[in-house]
Amino acid sequence: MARDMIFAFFLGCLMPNRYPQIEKATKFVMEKLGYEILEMEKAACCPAPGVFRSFNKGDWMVHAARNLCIAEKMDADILTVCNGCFGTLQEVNKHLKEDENLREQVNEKLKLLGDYEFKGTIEVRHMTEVLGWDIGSWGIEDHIVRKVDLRASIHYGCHFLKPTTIRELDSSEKPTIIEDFIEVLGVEAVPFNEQLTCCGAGGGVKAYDGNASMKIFGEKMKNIDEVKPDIILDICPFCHLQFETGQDYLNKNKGCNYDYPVIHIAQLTAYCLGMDAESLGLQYQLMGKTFDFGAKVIKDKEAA
Amino acid sequence: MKMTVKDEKIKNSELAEGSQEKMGFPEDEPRIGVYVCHCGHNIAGTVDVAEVAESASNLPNVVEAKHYMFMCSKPGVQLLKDDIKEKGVNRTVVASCSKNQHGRTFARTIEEMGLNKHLHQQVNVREFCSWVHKKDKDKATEKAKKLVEAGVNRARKLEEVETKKIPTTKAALVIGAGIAGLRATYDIAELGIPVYLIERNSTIGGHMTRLNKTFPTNECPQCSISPLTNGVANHPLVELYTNAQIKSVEGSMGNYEIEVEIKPRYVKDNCTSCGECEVNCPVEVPSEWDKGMSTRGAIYKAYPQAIPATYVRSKKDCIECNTCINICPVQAVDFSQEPETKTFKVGSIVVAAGYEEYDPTEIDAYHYGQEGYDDIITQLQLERMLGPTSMTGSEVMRPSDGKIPKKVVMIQCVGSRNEQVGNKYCTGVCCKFATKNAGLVKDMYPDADVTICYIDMRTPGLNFEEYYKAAQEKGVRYIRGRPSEILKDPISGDLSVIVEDTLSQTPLKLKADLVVLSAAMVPPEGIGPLGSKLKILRSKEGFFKEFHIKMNPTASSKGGIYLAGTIQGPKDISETVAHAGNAAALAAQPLVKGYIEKEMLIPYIDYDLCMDCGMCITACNPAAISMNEDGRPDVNEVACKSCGICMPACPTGAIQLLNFRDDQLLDEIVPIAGGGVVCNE
Repeated sequence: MARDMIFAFFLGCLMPNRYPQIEKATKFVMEKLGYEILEMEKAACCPAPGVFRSFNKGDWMVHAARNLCIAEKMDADILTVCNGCFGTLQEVNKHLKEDENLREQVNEKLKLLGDYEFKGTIEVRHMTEVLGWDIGSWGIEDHIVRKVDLRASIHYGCHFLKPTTIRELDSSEKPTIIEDFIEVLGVEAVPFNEQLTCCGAGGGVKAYDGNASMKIFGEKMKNIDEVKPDIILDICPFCHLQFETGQDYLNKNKGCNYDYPVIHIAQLTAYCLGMDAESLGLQYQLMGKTFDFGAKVIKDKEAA
Repeated sequence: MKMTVKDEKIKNSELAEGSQEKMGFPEDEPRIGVYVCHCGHNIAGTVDVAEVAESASNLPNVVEAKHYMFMCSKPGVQLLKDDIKEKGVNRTVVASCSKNQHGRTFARTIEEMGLNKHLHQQVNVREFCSWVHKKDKDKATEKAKKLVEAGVNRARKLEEVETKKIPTTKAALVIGAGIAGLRATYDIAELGIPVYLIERNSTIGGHMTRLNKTFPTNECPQCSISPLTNGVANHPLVELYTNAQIKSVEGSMGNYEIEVEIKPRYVKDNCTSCGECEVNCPVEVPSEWDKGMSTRGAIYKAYPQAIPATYVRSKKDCIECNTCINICPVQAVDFSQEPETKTFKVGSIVVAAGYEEYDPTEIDAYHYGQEGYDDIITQLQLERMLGPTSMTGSEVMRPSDGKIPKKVVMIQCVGSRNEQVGNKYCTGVCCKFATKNAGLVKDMYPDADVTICYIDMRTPGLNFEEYYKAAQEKGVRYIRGRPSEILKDPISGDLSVIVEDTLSQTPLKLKADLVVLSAAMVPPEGIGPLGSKLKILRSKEGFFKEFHIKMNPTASSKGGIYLAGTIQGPKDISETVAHAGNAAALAAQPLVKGYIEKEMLIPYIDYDLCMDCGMCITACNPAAISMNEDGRPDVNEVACKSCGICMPACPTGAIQLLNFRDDQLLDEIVPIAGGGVVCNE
């Protein structure tokens, strides 16, 4: 059992490089909620669950185990805000805890990388899971300083819930963890057709076959556009990237005219907990640059 | 009355006039005859049978060793008879085929000659030797010699086993009054045996009465079954108890004592079934019998033709307004009735507890039973909608808005062939009933699109390929593909089934006004407690396990308890009826005969070695061992199935099965393992 109320923050690759605002928002939220957030020194790529695992499962595990070992030494559970990082780290952590043979093989290889040994003392947590279940809609209410009035199309992404036998979090067919949480923030979840399908980014699709990726994404946007939400809410920087650059691509190449702001759950929660709008960094994003949360503020205790 | 069959046989035997001792052969010394069979070329083509016989003749206690072309032929058998008579052979070893094939032939032969049949030892030199070592005749011969030596060693210490006659109680208990239980009850009762039929629900007839039509003839099931329901209910030898459940089961094969708890109906037998009470009952709850497709009162009759026709009150639903008590024209309603416990003594038990339709709620992707997904139903619910007494007037209507659907999609293998939900097996009936219902819907609404999504179509057997084809000709569309999910358009509320047509490799999104899930047949609720009361084994699928899948599909793991119908595994009605008939015949056998012959091939416990740990009790499948009043294990010689599983379970070797004792088996192993010292004791 790792220490309570302390997280080793696993940054991953996309967030610190392309969406530092999500990183900032995450730290803001977690600290507001009373958690201590620690940096993970020498943490590397998670590595991505789709591509790396498909090519070499063994080395994928060793690499992930190295990251887990860093957090074990810090005696802190890992916090991630990315479905890909969560997918890899949670799965490897579970496998290595349960399978002694696998653990021995991985530890043997870890020695080559330095002073690392997987012991199985920590958990891997996604921020959404911490918000939805540890804090909960009942617990966040005390911390809210602003309540918004928004309609959001939620995108869960793939690795957060699937495979259900490994994640053991929520139904992958009718999940409610995000819906239940954001309702308290004043966000109404607007369901849309084929809501739980892939965004088209993961599994190496975006890098390998851009056209296929955009075809999948185009379907997704068509379905979202039917219900005309105020924002698209995601929980993963890679989905975030897809929704951002994808809308831009469709506008430029397919004659679309989308401008749906893409908001990560950390950004939304941070705003409701009092972070100033500028720090949310929408002005640096491709879509909804001028989207104003503030105009829809209906409750303002005191900006923290 | 304990008299042995052996005594009888000896009296009748031609040898009775001169016992072996009289003829000058000491009775206690083993005199073994060895007979090696050629089996034509089957054995002799590979094994040098003369050499094997010659080598056997040098073994201790062997007084005769021969080889012969066909030991199972009349002259072959005669060799044994002559040697018993003339040479004083008192144990025989035949080296030929397997014990299952001809072991019994030779055992019977020596029994005819006045020897105990357990003094015969069969050695298999065909399947175990000549057939598998055709290429190396020398080594095969050497192996045959060792096998025969092992057999001789075993024969040397064989002991006589007594056969006992156990009188049986002439009555049977049948659990469950669905089609299987009714068939078994009727068949047993017609042999003049009293039957106690107990049913958990308030009416008899089971699932069959809930069906709209039966395949492949599209007959009315109520018409088919009602002669049987009436026949059983009115049979002079049948005592029927509804609302009844097994409380405890004691005894063993031939003589059981069963306690049954009968819950009150709260309506007396003078009920005229006028229905005034239900009409005026203020309570309205979904009808279980109708799979929730209609409602019933707290006092109700499951369906119009229900037997017994007496109304029944559901205590848990009743608000005790007393309206029914006051309104009943014959004062039949009586809330003061109490549960009653009865004890029955029977010789055989037939378990016909049936099945349950799989509840698809756990398959998230199909959204069955979830809010807003009312138009996803099961086949049994569709049957109830189509039935003659349904609330929809036998029309197919969408539960959400009562409209007649234009597009119906049926999904096969819901809960069958699905490892995710833990059911690997194919129910084997769903392809047929889906084809039936699809065809019926198509007949009623020729313009409707009716589609069946399947993994494999399985409609084997006489008439069923034709039945399948007829549905196709009516225009039922079959798509080979297991749907991944059912989607609901959040804007229009329309359902669509996502499936890949794997024949054309096309992903499809089928619009559906009504989705019908062909749910699996699964073991009924309460099978666990029932199984532990009866002490019978279950298969890994959860049904009660048959004794032998081919040769004994209706016997359970315990003597005197038989399985009828779907409690043993999914079946259609025809199979169920045949299965139940067989169970009835087997259950009746010992009751008609009046006794059971039981070979006392049972384990004996050396109480000096026994530590009373109870491992043998845990290991014993037919639950034949129990702790006696002194806290020591006791073997029930009637219930014992002579399987020997108690022996390896015993940590001290205190429990030893007759003729399979450790020292006897060791003697047999020694020559095969390369020789050594044979146990003297």
